[in-house]
Amino acid sequence: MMYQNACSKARLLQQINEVSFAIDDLLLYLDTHPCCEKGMALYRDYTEKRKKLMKEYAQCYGPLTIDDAIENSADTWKWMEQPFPWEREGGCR
Amino acid sequence: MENYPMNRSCGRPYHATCGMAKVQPPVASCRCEAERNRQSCACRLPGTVTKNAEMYTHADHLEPAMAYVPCQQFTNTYDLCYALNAGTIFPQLCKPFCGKRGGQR
Repeated sequence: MMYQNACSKARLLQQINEVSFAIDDLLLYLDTHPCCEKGMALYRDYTEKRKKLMKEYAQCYGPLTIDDAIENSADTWKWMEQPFPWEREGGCR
Repeated sequence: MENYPMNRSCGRPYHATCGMAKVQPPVASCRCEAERNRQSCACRLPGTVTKNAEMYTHADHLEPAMAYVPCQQFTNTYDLCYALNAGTIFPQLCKPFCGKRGGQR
């Protein structure tokens, strides 16, 4: 169960990294092609997908950015309590 | 990622690339020969059958001895997982450097 949890957490983070990179690459394209409808459509798709993934991650494992800080179902402020992705689970404290 | 070469030092998901093919093509003496030499390139756009047919056809009518920066056209994009490894979502921009130790291998 523990391993499965870590696995899905890593997979979710990987998906966020992939779609975030695609958005970064796409915005460079749109800088020089501001009227490209296909590019804009793909940008909308990817940003929507990224929002969903970020929200899902925040709900399951804690927020990655301050924008998702209150997505967690708990009533208390969890921002400082959960380890950040670059920290080992509890190892760097 | 069917093309991912696990044993290559450059670690990119392609085995031969536009302008960076493993075997250096001989110097072309005419445009026809240059066209034949380009057939060895393995880069292709998603959903296409022929290798690099789309990659250089736009350059055929350009004047030699001039420098060009063609405007990028929107095409199909790589899958997200593949794009992160390749470093771009656009097949047109997939131009990795696979040279090694001062020479091309």
